[in-house]
Amino acid sequence: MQWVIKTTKLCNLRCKYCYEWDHLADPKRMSFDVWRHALVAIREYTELTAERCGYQIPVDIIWHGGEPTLLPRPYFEHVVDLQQETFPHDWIEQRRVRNCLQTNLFAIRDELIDFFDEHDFELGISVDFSPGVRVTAGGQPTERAVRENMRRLEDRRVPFSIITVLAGHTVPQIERVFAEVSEWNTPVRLLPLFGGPSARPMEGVAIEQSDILAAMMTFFDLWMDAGMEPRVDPLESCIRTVVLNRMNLIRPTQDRALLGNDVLVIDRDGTLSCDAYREQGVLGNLTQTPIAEIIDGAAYRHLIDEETRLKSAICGACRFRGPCDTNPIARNFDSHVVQDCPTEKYLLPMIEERLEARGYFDDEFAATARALTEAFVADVYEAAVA
Amino acid sequence: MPEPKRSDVEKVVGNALEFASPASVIAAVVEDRDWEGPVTIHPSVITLKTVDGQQLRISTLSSKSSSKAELVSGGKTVDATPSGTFKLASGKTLTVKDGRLTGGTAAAGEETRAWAVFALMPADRAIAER
Repeated sequence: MQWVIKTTKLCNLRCKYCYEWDHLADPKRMSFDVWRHALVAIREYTELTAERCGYQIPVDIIWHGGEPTLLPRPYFEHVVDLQQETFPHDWIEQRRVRNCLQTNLFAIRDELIDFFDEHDFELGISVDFSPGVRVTAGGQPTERAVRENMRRLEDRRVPFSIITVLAGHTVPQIERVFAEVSEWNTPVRLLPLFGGPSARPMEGVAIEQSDILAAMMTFFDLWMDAGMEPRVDPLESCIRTVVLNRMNLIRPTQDRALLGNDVLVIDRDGTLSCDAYREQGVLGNLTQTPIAEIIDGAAYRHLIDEETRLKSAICGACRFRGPCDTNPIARNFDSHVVQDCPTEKYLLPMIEERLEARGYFDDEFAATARALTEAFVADVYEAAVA
Repeated sequence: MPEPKRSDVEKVVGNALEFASPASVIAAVVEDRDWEGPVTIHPSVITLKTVDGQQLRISTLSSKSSSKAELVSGGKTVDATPSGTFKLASGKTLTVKDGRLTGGTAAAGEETRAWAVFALMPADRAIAER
């Protein structure tokens, strides 16, 4: 479970598609008092999940912005101290609680790399490998500096993943994007262009959804040819869904009523939401209301009802429902805007067709799947099969 | 198009199984599922140990019936229609209601755990402005 913490919205870049565009000069940061409330809420939510649903969820604390590396090292140190005060010792010891940080990596100080290394932070780097969109406040390109900083992280063996936005600047360059991603050989998320405030300067960014999907399929073919390395989201997940469908298996359905939230967001003032800026997504304020009351409250119930209605309308006729856990609706913010499943619904049939054409579902598939399923039950579930 | 290596097929199937509902995986093994392809499947009996030391036996009465779970001890049934959430190895859970497999979780959070899924890109502010 990911807790996205909006530590600050201040940013040294002005990426044209940024959904925080209106707030990037705001220096206000999350106070330690709000952090304290947030961490207590995270602990209580995790305990509630075990109590009500019977399973232990991992806790990913995602430092998010703006640009969180603009925060000073003592700020990070104090929050890590607060985490140690708030979470049971074994959660930290066994890495059940993990710190991750989303950064543009344009200008990162050595003292912070040291800190991230010392405290096992994992970094997500926003980089598009195509110029013109991710620029400084003065309009200067950032790609070279970011690549150099990625090399610094690599040299220090600080783990990182990549998020690349698919939009007007990257889609025409998708083969080159793949080549770069391939070279870094670290997990990547391909993120289709998303909505945001109207003040964003979208020239060179806006693009048709069909072009984005076509680029994803070009990337898919290159990636398959390269042996499905590195890991790519959402392509891996789509393959999983297609294969489960072929095997007549299903995933557990994503259900917020069972506390199945992949992501919750905590803003600088303690506002909790399923995502930022969606009016009906605001669930309460953690500085005023305990998390247990929030998830038993009217706003959370409304979110569940609204999402259930949306899923019913969108997923009802989808032949991948079941193997698909419906999470793409919850995770894709534009699904609420366009009242559709803007990515997976269209990718899944194309990926199925490609796998078919590549011979994955040949005559031997059923026997292979059967044998692997039996072995899986015996090994992973430690079951005796007679 | 090149033929996939067998290991590639095994990779995607193995990966998919990690995220499948334990109930559907177990039921697929014990039931005579209509798997695509010319394979004849024989019903099986599966005995699962839970992390708290209980034993769940999953079986089918006939090749076409749905699977049934019972709690057993020393080979004998101690509860023919158990209900509850049973935690299996690897953190996966299996939910049973009155002896029927109803659900469960794959290892919670696993799918996104190793990922940089950190960027959130909400859009609804644009709606308000339209």
